[in-house]
Amino acid sequence: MVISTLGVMIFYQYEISSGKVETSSKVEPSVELSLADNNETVSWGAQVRYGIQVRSPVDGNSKYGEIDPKQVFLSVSFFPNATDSSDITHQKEKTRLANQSGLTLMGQGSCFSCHADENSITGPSFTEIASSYSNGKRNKQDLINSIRKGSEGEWGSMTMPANSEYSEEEAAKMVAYIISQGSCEHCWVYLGLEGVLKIITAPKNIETGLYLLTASYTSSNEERGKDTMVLKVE
Amino acid sequence: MDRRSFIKKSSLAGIGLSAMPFDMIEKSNGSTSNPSTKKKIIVAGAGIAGLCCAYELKRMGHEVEVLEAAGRYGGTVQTVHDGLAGGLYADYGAENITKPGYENYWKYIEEFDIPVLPYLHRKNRMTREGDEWLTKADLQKRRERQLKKLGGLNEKESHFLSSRSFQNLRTDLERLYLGPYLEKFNDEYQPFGIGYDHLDEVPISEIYKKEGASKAALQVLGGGNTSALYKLWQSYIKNKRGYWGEYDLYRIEGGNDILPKEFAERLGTRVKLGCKILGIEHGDTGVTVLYREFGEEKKMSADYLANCLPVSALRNIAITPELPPEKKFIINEITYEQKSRIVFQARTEFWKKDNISINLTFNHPHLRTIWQVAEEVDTPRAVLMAKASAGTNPLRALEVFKEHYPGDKSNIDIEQALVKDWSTDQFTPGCERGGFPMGELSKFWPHLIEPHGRIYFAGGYADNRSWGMEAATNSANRVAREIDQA
Repeated sequence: MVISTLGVMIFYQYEISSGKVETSSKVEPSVELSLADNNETVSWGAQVRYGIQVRSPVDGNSKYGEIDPKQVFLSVSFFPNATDSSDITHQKEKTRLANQSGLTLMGQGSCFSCHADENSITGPSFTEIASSYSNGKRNKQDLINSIRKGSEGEWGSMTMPANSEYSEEEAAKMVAYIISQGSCEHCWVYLGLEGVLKIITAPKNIETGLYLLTASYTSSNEERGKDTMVLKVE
Repeated sequence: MDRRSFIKKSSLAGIGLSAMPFDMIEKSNGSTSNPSTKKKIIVAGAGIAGLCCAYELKRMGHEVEVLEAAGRYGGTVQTVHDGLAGGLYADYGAENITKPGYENYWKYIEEFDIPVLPYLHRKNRMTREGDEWLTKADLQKRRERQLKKLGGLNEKESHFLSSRSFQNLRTDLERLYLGPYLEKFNDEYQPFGIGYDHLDEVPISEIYKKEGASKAALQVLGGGNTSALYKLWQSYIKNKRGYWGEYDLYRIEGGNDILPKEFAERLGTRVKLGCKILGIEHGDTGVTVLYREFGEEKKMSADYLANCLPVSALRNIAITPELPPEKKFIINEITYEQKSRIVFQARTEFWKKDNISINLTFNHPHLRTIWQVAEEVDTPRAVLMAKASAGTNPLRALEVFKEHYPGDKSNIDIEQALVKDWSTDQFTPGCERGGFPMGELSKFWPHLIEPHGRIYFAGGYADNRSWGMEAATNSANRVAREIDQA
């Protein structure tokens, strides 16, 4: 009973706010990243609980369950020995974060039901896929084909279903993202409106560093909003 | 996906109040602690493992609180009634139990006097191969021809099989070649230290070869990617439980969610729905759980934590101090199988006009197998359940059904299609545990079932075999016993 009552309530919320939808179409969603401890300095190996609140003029408010968590990402990069946030705003990082169309495409489908950045869910992780590319076992076209046509027996006994709704070009964007994310040693991507960010244990000969956190959401009319935060690790 | 369709999907699935993002400002420290002669235990998760574990602990006289993030209990045990006519129902999740096997499950069937029915979905099954529909007998003939082509079975194999029913060729051959190896096992929870440790690096197919299996038998047996140690261990357990080969399937009359309901009824408001666990602090004397309830963050302390959450949920919980590396490995590396359940309602049992069985294997990515459920319900209508890959659209599955149905297509009167895609479920993404890669058993076992300090682990993944409800009830009983005796 609770379920259906809640469902009705939320649908009603949509109905009364739908007037806004018509008038404000090309406005970026507002994305707010917050950390449970509110600290700007964290220790090596720490587990940092984060939450992302999204308000989109088109899609609604995460507070009311109106935001698809599969379109909410926390991209994380670690910069060893950096001490000043100006050290990390260089062009390469900007380009990396801008090239996330592959990630957005993946959020639109069912990819994240089976795949994640580093963990195993059902299918291989981005890291595993990227290493099969870098060691020459698979080329980009193989990976594009796996997405569009599916595969069987390539990674253990699991079947990868065909995702024919993606064009060749879209699949190529996704592959580019997976390879770049999976092969980057100090980059991580987390999915959803909240979770636990895991700070690495201190690497050899490194005493300090900065974490750049970028929370982002792409709305259904393809407007992207983001919020960034820098954490010092010591 | 636009907002309307996302909300619509969420509402259907029950988005759960605790799924709403947290507000960092609203915090409270409502702490409860009651260390007395009886123990206080927080049970994380109200799937069948959590409910079963809490029920056992309560019966032992302990104080339990069950925290469940979703707005419903039962986890991957879920029966659908809504959308089906005439009292029909279908199990979206866990679908059957075996006899022999499922010992702990049957204990509750008896205790709560729950009616069960034989589940005959594998009887008279027809299988589509190439463009042909084959009966079991046809398939067997085809297999025999294939075996002959490969040189046939050798004398030892033929002799052994002549004493058996030839119903299950593969298991019979396994029994012939692996049976003698099983004598060394004496504890179903300990595959190591009996002289087979090195076999984790060896595929089981090598053992068959070494034992002199014919080329034809090797083809039937496969196993090139399965660790010999794992296979021997699993065969020992299956043999010990009496289901290495033939066994009977059963289901609960009225739906398999009756068992979790029976547990939950006995636990009352100790089961707290809409309570998402966010953090776990543990030490030598107890545990404190940070969770969100009614939009507020709260803390609850107890002597022990019976963690009955799937590892995918544990990945999003901050555990302090951190779990040891072998436990973190389990949390990061356990995989789950993912499937879609498709339910069709037909106006009549139309296949009977064609005089064929509706237990059909299509072997198509959009429709693997289909069978009838709830056939005991007194209505002319019928419910069919189908298994498909995650992400399958039920109308695509229906199209495959219509295209390849072995009878008269004009008889098909399917009037309703429902789907449950577990891969998109917010709280229980996936059910049965996937296999372990060859050579890695010692990374998973026994860490999978070992407690860490005051945290104990149960669930569909936390037992020596992966059949969901058997593993859930076994591990729940194990954890209740361990905490009681701690």
